[in-house]
Amino acid sequence: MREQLNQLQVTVEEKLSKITQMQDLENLRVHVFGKKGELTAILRSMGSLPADERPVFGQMVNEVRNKLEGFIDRVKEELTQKMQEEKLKRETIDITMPGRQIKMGHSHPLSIVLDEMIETFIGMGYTIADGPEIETDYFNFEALNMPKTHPARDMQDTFYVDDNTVLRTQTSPVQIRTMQKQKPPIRIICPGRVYRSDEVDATHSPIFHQVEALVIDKGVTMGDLIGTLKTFAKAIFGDKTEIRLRPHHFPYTEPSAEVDVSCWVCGGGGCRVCKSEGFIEILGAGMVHPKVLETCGIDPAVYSGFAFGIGLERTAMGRFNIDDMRLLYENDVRFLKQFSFTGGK
Amino acid sequence: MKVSMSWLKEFVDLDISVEKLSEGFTLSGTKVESVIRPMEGITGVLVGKIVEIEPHPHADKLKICRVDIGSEILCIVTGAKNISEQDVVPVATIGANLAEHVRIEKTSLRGVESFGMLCSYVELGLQKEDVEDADENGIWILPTNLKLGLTIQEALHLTDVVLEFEITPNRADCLSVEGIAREASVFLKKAFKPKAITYRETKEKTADYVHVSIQDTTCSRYLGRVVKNVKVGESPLWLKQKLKSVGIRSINNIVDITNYVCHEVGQPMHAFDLQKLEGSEIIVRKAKEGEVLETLDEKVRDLNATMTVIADAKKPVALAGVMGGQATKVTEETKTILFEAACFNGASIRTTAKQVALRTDSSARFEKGLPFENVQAGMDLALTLVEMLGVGEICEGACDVFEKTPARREISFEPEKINAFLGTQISEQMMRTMFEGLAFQWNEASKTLIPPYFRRDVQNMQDLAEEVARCFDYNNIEPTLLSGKTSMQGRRTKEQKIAQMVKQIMISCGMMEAYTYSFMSEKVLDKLRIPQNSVLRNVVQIQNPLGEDFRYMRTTTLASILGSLGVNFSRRNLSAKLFECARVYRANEHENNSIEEEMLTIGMYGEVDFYDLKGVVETVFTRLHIKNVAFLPETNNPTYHPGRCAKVLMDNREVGTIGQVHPEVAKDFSCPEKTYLATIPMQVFYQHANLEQNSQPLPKYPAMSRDIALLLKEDIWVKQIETIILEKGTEILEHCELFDVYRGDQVAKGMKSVAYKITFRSQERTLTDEEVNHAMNRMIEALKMELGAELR
Repeated sequence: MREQLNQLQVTVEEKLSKITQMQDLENLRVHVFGKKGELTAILRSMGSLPADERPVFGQMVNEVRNKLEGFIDRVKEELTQKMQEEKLKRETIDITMPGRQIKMGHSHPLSIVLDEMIETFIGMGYTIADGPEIETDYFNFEALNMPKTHPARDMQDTFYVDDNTVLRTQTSPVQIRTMQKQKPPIRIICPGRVYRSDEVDATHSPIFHQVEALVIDKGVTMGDLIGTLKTFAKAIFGDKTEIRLRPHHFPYTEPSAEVDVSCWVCGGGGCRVCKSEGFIEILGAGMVHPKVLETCGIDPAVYSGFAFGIGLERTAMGRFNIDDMRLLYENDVRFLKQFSFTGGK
Repeated sequence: MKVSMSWLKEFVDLDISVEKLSEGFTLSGTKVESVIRPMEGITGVLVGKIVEIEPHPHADKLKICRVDIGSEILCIVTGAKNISEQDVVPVATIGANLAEHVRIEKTSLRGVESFGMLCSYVELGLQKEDVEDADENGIWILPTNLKLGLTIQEALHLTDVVLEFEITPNRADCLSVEGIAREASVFLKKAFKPKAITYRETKEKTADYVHVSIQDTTCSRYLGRVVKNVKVGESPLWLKQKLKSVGIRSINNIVDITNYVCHEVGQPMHAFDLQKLEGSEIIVRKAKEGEVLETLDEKVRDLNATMTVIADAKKPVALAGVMGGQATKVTEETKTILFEAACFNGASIRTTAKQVALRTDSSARFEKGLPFENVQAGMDLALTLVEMLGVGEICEGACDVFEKTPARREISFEPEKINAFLGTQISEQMMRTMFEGLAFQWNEASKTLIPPYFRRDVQNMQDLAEEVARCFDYNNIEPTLLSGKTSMQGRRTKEQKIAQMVKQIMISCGMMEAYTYSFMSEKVLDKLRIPQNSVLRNVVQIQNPLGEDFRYMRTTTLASILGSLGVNFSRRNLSAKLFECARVYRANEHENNSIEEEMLTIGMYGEVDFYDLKGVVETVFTRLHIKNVAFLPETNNPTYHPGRCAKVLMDNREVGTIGQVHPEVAKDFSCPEKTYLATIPMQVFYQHANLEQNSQPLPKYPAMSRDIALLLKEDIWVKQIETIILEKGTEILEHCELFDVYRGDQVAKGMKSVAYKITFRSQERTLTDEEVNHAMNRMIEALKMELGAELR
């Protein structure tokens, strides 16, 4: 019987080494351990042994049994792993085929730039103010220190609805409206549509957008204006951006400045985009004129403030290398698709 | 405003490059718009005289010219037609550089060697306005008195660089060479050299020749001087050249003097032929209604009582501050002239110039407000020029009429206030030096600054601060961050947040954001088939539109979006899904003002149908947690397909429209037949959006679902089915979802099969089959009874 047991062990080990299929392994297990299995048969025949030999033999059988079970389990594990590998191999796909993209939409480039500006200003403690586009002559001109006969009115070609009503030529009337109803301190931006009577071409449009900022408080200085402009320019045109101020004249600010930013293409070295100047004019700015403050019931002896305005179209055209303003208003989907929903510089 | 370098140098020493000078001007506030270098890059072009022309032996169209360039005679072959012997012409010699990078080399034309080229002005890089009466195709024939062999630049005095400035409206003083030179003297810290005024007077008195009176308050001063025995004729070359360099054409010596004065000191002048003034009288007065005046441009102007004129005893002879009259102009026959230098109110001149649509060098200066004192400076220079040119005898004394000399403004000088305003620490002494350079006077007693007469723009502390900042250079001011005791929180308002969300939802739904013009023509309302009595016809009209398409402010955004869709379709873009958040504008006749309303407009075509559009609209409502939205069939909106249009209802109130565009409308806007549009006022979202978000516990008990398919008549809306399901489902009904609508072979004609997944759940327990079956039975019974539905 021992012989039989040994023989069984040898045969099973031999068979195991040749098994490649899970089913064969299962068959072998049944053949050995099943009800009619060989090992089961040996166990059954143990009854014929003398009682004193049984414990010893029983132990032997158990050892062989454990050993064989261990063999079988190991082979089973190997086979399982092999099968798994084969399955994975079969499941190989062409990962170069295109993914199923979600067709999201696109923000307009003007909105992208506007949102960046809004985020920048919100971070600096500003809120957003709004007002009508069809505006009275008073808010658009007179309250801004431009009476009817003021020559500065020629600087802006105005659309008139009637003698006292215009399409606002700037978003500054929103500043006046805000100052007349809100006590300082004031920190607002006024983004919006403005109108000038310019024929449509690659660089002109009778409708465009401005973003203006206004700050009124005690002790606001021109240094504060310059510091704010610097922060703003870096946020919109990149960290390396430098600004340059040139004295200018606006009826509603004193001192007034035109503000250039270092060219976003060449960084100031001079190129085609900045016409070799290294700088590009982008902003108008200044300290709010005392007459404007007085008109709004704010005492210029107590309060001071600054204001500045930037054209959205020009900024977007610069940022995104758009060479024709008309593209911004045609809404050709092939153009719009080129923009994501947010920017970042 | 153009100023040549040589003219500038008469007033201030310049020893820096043009580039540095330009930068200095620009950074101190007088922006250099362009630097004009006449004939830049043109070399080797000399003045030559054609001494002989003979035909070319082998070519009919060519000629052989012998050209004297002073040092030698060149043989040049040319095809030019407009030349003859003795003509003086520009000659490009071998090695010469011409415009457009043309370089002249020795050539052989049909066997004859040619040692240069005769030039047209175009080949020399000049424009039509640079030359008088020259043929742009032919050779440029030069004046015969030029010295042969000189370069063309030397011969024509075209070596001067000209700077063109942008002058802001507050700086009328910089509309003059003197003003510009003063600016240069400030930033270069060099002395300003005033021009010497010298002239002799005859014994005869101006007052004996003419009487001047002012009857109109818009004229604060009128200064007249008489010059007799005038020799009207051509101006000397230097004067002509100088005027030409800044773009002024020479007329005759007297007119040239007035133009010269205007340009050099910024005082517009006029010269009358005194003998043509009736009654030897000058009256400054308002024009009378019905009066007319033929101005120097030979146009007859109708005058009215708002306009100031210069009149003689009988008639207007000049439109004050704008233009002189044809009848009294200086001609070759003129013997005695009256020079006028006056001071007019800027607003009045501006209004008059606008009325006659005539903007002259004179009116452009007056309308910015010229100082009282400038009148004298202008007249002095004019008389000095008369003396210098020797063109007349100046009568003694002047007719100088004015009410009073205006008091000079004194501005208190408080350096600490200026520093506090600018955020600087500039010493008082440094500021004083700056103002000295700017020709301000200092009143020690009152600690005030008195601006020079030509700086009427400086009026208060802020203006002084600007002068200081300008001299200091704005860019040297230390940038600082805003400080303030009150903390300012930057944020969007609720409405602004909602607007932002609406846009984000649109983009997440695959829509592209559009920007369109806010104008429209009335035609588009017809194209949209808007009824005549619609409120959308209450348009705000622009008085001075750029054209018919831009005449009205839009009352609807539909045409804007359809226009953009049309552009896309005509450019063969297979699909387009656009949205815009922008305003419409309506006239409010009762209040006599206008109403602006912000609209969300959606438009699409391509592989989409009504339900794609509706899905986008529903998504907006869902994401903003807006409930109580319903869609009701709209069969009467003429812009839309009568069977595929819905009113959007909020709490049973109509707030918007969605639908397929009527095919006629689509066609009129060059859009495909299946084009879809929706409009909803943004106010709906602002009012109803619910931004509060409270989490609910996850369900503890499982849900049970049942699918049913119902056979129904085609004309039953699914809304009717859903109403019954929701009503009869009892409190355990969680959700019902339409998942299939079938029409076809499997169902009878005129019928449709509608399939729903209905989900039940209780918050307290696991549901039993009986409970669910009971609810389903109630529901199915009602569907059978009320809609005649059958279970499939």
